[in-house]
Amino acid sequence: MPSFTHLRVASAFSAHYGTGRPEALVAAANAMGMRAASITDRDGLYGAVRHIRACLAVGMAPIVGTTLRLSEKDGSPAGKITILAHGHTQGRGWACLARSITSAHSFASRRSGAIVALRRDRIARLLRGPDGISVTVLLGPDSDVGINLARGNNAAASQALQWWMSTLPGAIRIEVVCHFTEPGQPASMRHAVSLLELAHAHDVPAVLSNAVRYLVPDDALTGDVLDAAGELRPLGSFDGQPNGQAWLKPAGAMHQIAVAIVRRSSLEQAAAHRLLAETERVAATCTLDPENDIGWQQAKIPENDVIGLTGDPNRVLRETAEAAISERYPYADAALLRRVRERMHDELTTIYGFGFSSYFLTVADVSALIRRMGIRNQARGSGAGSVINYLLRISNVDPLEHDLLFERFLGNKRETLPDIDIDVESARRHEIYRAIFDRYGSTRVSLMAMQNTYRARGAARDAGLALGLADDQIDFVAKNIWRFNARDFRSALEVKPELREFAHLVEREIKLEQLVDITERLDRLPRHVSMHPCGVILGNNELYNLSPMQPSGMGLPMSQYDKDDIDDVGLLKLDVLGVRMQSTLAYTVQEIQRVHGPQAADAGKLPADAPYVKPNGFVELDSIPHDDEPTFELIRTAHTLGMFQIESPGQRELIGKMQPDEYNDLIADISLFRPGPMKGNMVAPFLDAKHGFVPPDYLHQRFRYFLQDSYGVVIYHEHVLRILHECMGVTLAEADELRRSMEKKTDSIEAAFRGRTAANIDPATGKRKFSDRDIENIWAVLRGFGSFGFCKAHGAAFALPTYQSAWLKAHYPAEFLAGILTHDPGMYPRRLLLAEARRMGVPILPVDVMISDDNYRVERTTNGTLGIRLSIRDIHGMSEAECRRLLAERPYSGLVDLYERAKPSRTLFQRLALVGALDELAAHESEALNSVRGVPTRGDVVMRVRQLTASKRPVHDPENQLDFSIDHSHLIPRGNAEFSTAERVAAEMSILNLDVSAHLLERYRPLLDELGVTPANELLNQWNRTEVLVAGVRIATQTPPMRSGKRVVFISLDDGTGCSDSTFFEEAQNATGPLLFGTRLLVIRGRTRRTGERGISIEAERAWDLQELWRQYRARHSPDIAEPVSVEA
Amino acid sequence: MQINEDISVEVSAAGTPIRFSWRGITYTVVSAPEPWLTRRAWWTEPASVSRGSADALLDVPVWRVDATPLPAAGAGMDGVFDLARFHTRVGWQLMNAWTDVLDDRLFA
Repeated sequence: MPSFTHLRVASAFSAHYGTGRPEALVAAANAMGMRAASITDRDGLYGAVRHIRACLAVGMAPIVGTTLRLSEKDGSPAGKITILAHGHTQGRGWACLARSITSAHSFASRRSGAIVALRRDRIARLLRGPDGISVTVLLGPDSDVGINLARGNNAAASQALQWWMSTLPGAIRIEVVCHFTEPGQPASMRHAVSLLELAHAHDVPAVLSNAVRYLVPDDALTGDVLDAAGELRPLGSFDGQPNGQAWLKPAGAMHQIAVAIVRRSSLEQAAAHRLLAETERVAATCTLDPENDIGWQQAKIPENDVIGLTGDPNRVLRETAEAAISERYPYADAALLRRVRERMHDELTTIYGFGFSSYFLTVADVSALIRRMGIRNQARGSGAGSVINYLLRISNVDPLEHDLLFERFLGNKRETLPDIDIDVESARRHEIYRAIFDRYGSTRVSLMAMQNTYRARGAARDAGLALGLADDQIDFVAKNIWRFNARDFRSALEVKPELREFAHLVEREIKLEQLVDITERLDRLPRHVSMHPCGVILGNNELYNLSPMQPSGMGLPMSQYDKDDIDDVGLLKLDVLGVRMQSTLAYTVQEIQRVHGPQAADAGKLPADAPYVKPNGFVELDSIPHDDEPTFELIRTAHTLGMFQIESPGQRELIGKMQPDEYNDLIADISLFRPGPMKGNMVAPFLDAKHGFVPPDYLHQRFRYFLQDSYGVVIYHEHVLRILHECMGVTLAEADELRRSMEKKTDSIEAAFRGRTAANIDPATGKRKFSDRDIENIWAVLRGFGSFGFCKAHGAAFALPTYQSAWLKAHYPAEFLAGILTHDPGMYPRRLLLAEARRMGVPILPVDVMISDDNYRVERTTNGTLGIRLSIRDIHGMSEAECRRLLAERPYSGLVDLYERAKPSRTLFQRLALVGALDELAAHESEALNSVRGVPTRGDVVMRVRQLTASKRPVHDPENQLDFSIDHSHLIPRGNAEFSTAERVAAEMSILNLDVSAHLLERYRPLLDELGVTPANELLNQWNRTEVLVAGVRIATQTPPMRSGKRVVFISLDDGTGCSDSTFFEEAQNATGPLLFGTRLLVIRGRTRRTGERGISIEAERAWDLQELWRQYRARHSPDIAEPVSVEA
Repeated sequence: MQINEDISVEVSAAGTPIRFSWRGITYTVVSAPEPWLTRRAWWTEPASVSRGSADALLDVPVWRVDATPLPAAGAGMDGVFDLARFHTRVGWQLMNAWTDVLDDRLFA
């Protein structure tokens, strides 16, 4: 079989160019019997790590390079080159590659329009190292040499080649490509011949490539569409690819091409052999040794002195942990202290074994850095299972309290660095990034990349653009695509009721049919690279030799590696995730302290001596007790709006059923509310045992001690570990390995489980610990558990902010609502949060330019209750600068004063008036006259503002030197009507997107009364299976995965009294059709379905558009009823 | 210049053109035909583009030939011709032609 190596292969990670995933390309090359596989993505190493991983998996030789554009010093384009790193060079070749890419990106600028390009004057410096040149540069048909040749400019081509030869002696190869394009064009046969002849004339070795950009000929069409997406123009309006030859051709075909080129040339036949042999020689030189060249899977973390570490890291880690015991376990008795020490010792032994001590100290250093900045932070994930993490304050979850296992976090066999994720206040995330860069030095830190891939909507949009469809047609399609995979577009058309209309169009219109097919083709291809929302990479001083960098949106350098690459290149990834709930918690605590000061404990109905409330009113949230009854009482009402993770309709239902009364229940609730446990039906047995309908079944009395936290239901990975440990006598670490491979190797694990468990003899009695029947029962549970379970450490870490938010809502409702209104952490629109405040009896105070802040503030109303003052931030169309001025220039003496000094735009000034933000100021301004003329109405204020904005803007003239004679034009007029509630709500909706004065639905009251609609808060009083009508504003639509696999749509409506949750099964979906997803105000008919003590939902039969019903109602009753607030979805 | 007219072509056993007639004149190929591949604008056609169905949707084989009119043919001129076989059509197409006469007409 002939051998051939494709040296130049662009994968799908060459965005808007390649179509093949690295794994697929490697697999295909392997199937064709090739020895080596190369990846040369455009502008970067985005796919390189995946490529190497795929090569290692099948035993192919990995080659990595990149294709870069070149520019002259003045920025003019100078063709492209492909740089391949040499292997077995201790990483010198790789470093040249990485640094060249970083350099090429450093000149790109969105503002100046400069593209990513390597500047010619940098090449010698970047590619010529002190130990010689460790890269090979391919000059192909698209290089400056090739371009000159194609233009027939042979002299310039020779000159260009000579420059390369003298700049990088020995490293230059001519890359001959024949795509059989039109004779004379780039990559034509003639062009290939002239490149080969030129190489021969200059005695430069040549290689053959196919400049691959897709896997098989069929993908060429996808390539066309990507070209259009890259050009942002429809196909046919630009020069696309000349034909479809750039696929991964088999070795035989490449050999034939070599022979054909040489036959057409003036060279002797042996030149074909030389061409192919040289290609293989370059492949051999460039074959990487991942361990030697990039330290494959070897940890590279900041040097000890950078984190201020002197001496043996193991000793430092042990001493630090030891010293923290008294702080973390202040009230521990001797027994607990012994457990802590034992656990600490076990964990340290494992950590030492891996040499991970400095890693833990690094992460601890980062969280200490965040704490010093006064920013809330909390570790998430399996790291919560480590007492070392707890002692080092990386995590705030005590693993001993919740019976969490270290082995689930770090076992015996783990080679790569464990993941530790830190949740921080979202509002201050960038501050943290900068601090990390400052502390560790920019040569060791970078942000992480994220590959965004095509999803249905984006794919449909780009497909529509490529086909030249009209914008409204594209919009129509994109809007109707709802949560399905683009690759299932065709089958979705057949089954989804909301696509019915579109499906009919597709049958008639070939372009739409093509659109459907192309959308399927684009699905999941990388689309563009962006900054990962939370990943920070820490490395050692060699980071820039290992990873190419490019500018990120926030100005800090970003590595081209994404989350799947980090482990294999041995870098440390910190997930510093901005979580709005953390900002909400911090804000709420601030408001409590600001409003109540030393009276904070009393205000929260807490004991006066509560140790977690500081004398100055600061509430130490991480120290609040976890058994607070008022908190659980509130949770049990299922009024969980605003509580972290338990506010969704599905969670409200589960909470209503579960009626949690302890912290463990919250962990269980969060762990159960996932597709796996839902499908695995773990919920029902849990609830039955919790409510005492059935006694808990612990499977075996030996399991009782660890299954008590879940009433005997096997929910957690930790349970499985302990079961395997008890039964088989394996260590917990070994148990975790078994658990991980349970799905793939079920049969062999079953055999081992049965054998070892049966052979497990109790030394005290000399009898088997587990009978055959026990083994049957236990195995049935383990097998059913499959991959469903959840890591309890995750659950315990997740439950902490859930509990903290619930606690704040129970004790400080106004402050907490101000917090969620300010930081908007949840899934619902703000207007629903206002509805919740109204429901809880917390007064909503209108926007007032004299008082409102740019956050939602707690304010004591005249009767002493705590209300929430709306923020001016939500005023539609206000710029940052306008907001700043409006606040900074306060106080104002009157409307003119404000208009002059705060300089709002005319529109903004009018909006302030319409929404009532100027009411108080106007009353204040005309105070002296109010007794005579009356307090100005909203209508008067609006009229005055219209007068002011209609004339020329007044000049600021504090001394009144211009000597305006005071006339009535300077006064607020009177006699304009006061705004009705409807007008107020209309203004609030359009300007704040909030209904402040009354709930949106109130406008439709006569209709709702006529229909006999049931308010949400009265649903619980209905018998099961009662037919009801509910109405409201759509606040959530969900299509969660179901046990049956059929699609079910959940729609939640808010009607001001609370939320109703309706379930649409197939028939109801069909009856409702396109209204299912698009309409905002709905009336739903269905039957009540009781789900528990506090749980009720509606099984929908049909839904109607409330506004449509209202139109009919008006036509029937009185055409005079005013048009209500129009609401767009 | 672009012609895009249907023509009849006589091919060798290997499938390469030997002779063709265009506008009533028969031309004889006088060079070794140079094969190349142009492409279709599939988005202008009622083609199915579903995954796996587009193998033949892009490439169109073309032969570039030097040809001269048969002596008896009269008004034809020597020239360079691109003869293409589009999948969507039954026979051959003369895609491009470059002759002195055509050039003259261009600049007339």
